Amino acid sequence: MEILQQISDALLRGDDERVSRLTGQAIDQQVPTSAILDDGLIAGMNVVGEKFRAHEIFLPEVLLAARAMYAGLTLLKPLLLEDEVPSRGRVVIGSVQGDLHDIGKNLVGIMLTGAGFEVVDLGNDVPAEKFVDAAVEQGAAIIGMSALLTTTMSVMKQVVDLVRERGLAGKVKVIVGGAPLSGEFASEIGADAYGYDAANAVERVKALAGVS
Amino acid sequence: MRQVVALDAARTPPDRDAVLRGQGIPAGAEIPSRVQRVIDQALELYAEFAEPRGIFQETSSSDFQSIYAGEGLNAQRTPLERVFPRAQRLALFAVTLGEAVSREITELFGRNEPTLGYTLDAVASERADTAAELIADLFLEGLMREGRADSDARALAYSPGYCGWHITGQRSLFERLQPQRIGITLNASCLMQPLKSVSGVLAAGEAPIHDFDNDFDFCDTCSTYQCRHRIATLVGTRRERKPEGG
Repeated sequence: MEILQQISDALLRGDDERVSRLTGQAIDQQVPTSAILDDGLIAGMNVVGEKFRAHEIFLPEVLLAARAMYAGLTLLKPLLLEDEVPSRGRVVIGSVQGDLHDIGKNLVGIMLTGAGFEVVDLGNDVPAEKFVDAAVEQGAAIIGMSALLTTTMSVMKQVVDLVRERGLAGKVKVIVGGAPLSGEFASEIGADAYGYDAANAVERVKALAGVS
Repeated sequence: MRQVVALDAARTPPDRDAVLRGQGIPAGAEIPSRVQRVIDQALELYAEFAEPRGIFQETSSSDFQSIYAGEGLNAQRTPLERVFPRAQRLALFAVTLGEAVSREITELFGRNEPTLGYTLDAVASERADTAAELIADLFLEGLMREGRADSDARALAYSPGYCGWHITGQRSLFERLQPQRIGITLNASCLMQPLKSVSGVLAAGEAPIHDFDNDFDFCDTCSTYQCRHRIATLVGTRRERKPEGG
């Protein structure tokens, strides 16, 4: 459908006003909301992701695209709820206790939203219990944690341990990221995944959620 | 010698190439006009919100030895433990861009302006490093005026959290320097607030004292290669050991 391709193209250019206008037109034309989401907005973000991985575009353009995605989603959200279109999943994110850096965590949140996930952002300086409590309260299947300091990385293990202690292992998966971390560290603490940057984190979350 | 200084030159926004590099965009890449406009906006915001200032205090090699030892968590081998004993003069330092820039970055994300927030963050990070370079220059100029450093001496900054100097070293550094005087505080995890702050030691001496091979364990996981650039600037060499698999 031409309008869905136009939405996808406008999103790739980071043109939030055009994405908003075209999404409104598609709704008026009674295009199914799931099609606008999957074949317009998410299809556009998938192209953005591919171009970013191929170094054809850079992070500022990805963020402009994500902002455009948000503009379209804002119009679609009430209809998605009305039509009971299932979400791709809910993810609780935050920077761990003692850490006030939030740029990386914010980028992950924006890109996850752009990939069609519902994001519950707990902010920074988040205690271990709060991550797990929020995941339970919000029905989130994934917890994402960020740390930029070696002194705060230990909080991540506390969260992994808490998930196990509360019998949530397998139901709630944990992904970690941040400059001082590594895949080895993630394995050591028993996290389910490690994202080496924001774009990679989104790919990992998609894999954890079982969506493409 | 202890000085609190306003770092007016750090108020000046960096050039666009520096901002692009900070965002991982290589030189010569085609930049869409929308991204160019965001950079313009970020530079304007930086000029509006930045309040760069710094403090430095001279210290002896023996004093610094105990500050550097901190809580005993440094890497077994580090470049700094070779640099500072050979330095002619040492000074503890801290610089900050103030709270307003960091607050604006956070608020931009909250207002769904992630590209602008991210770009302003890149601008501020580059300027914070520049502020550290400026205070190193001020320290060296003062030493030269007083005839306490050779005319060909160079001063470079080294910071806790990098190159094997464990971040918990911030505690002993803060205890001695008291950067609270310029509004920088340290939290329980050794994180400075405002976030756009840099602290550490300034080592002044002949350029070769700053030269070292990047063959330390922690070099394998370093992605900045900042030390290679600094050494190349000082001594005209750039010996590199790429990390395994890198």
